[in-house]
Amino acid sequence: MKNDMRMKYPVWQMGFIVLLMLIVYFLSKTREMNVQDNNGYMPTTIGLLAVIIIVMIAFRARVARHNRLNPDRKISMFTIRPPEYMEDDEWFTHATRLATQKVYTFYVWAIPFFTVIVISLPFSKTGIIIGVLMMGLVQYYIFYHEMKKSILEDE
Amino acid sequence: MLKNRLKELRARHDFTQIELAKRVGVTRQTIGFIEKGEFSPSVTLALKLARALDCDINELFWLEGDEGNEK
Repeated sequence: MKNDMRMKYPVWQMGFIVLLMLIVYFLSKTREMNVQDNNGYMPTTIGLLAVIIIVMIAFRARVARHNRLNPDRKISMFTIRPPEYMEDDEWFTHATRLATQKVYTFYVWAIPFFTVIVISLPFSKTGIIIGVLMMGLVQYYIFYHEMKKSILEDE
Repeated sequence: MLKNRLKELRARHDFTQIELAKRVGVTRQTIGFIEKGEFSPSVTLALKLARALDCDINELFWLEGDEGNEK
């Protein structure tokens, strides 16, 4: 179970979100830099794109490895249903539902709270995007933590 | 609260958790959490466990406070 990609999928998503946050931040900064220095935009963008490509290749390889080792539990990156849902049997379904409930509870409070903060404080567009991505980061952390507690605790 | 003597009966049949899990079509983790009392199985799974352990379902599972079965 420790090598099951479905357990690690939320961690990869957290990594992608952190990467996306960096991209958003640097792109907003390089747009500012571009006004004074025409060379600021391109190197940063190219560097970030290179990092994305490398991480995507590693991710794709990891998914392929999981599918090879677990042919009865294949996952796809291109499905609407999140691959991190584990419903192998009753306990796994129960654990997934508990984790999903925790995420739902988080959003019940996070969305209104975030809205109030954005309305009350002078947030830039970049700040709002990063705030939304932060919620995504917390969402995946909650789900991963709950599943880890439910499933790996027994190993 | 549902109580059980799954671990005791499993040991009596000399099954590992994995073996019992395979017999009833679930994962080892499910057996583990049922034994710990942290998860109550469905009726279907409870019946499958009773069949695999060759016992009556009431011998395997009972409600907390049901003194007759706790002996």
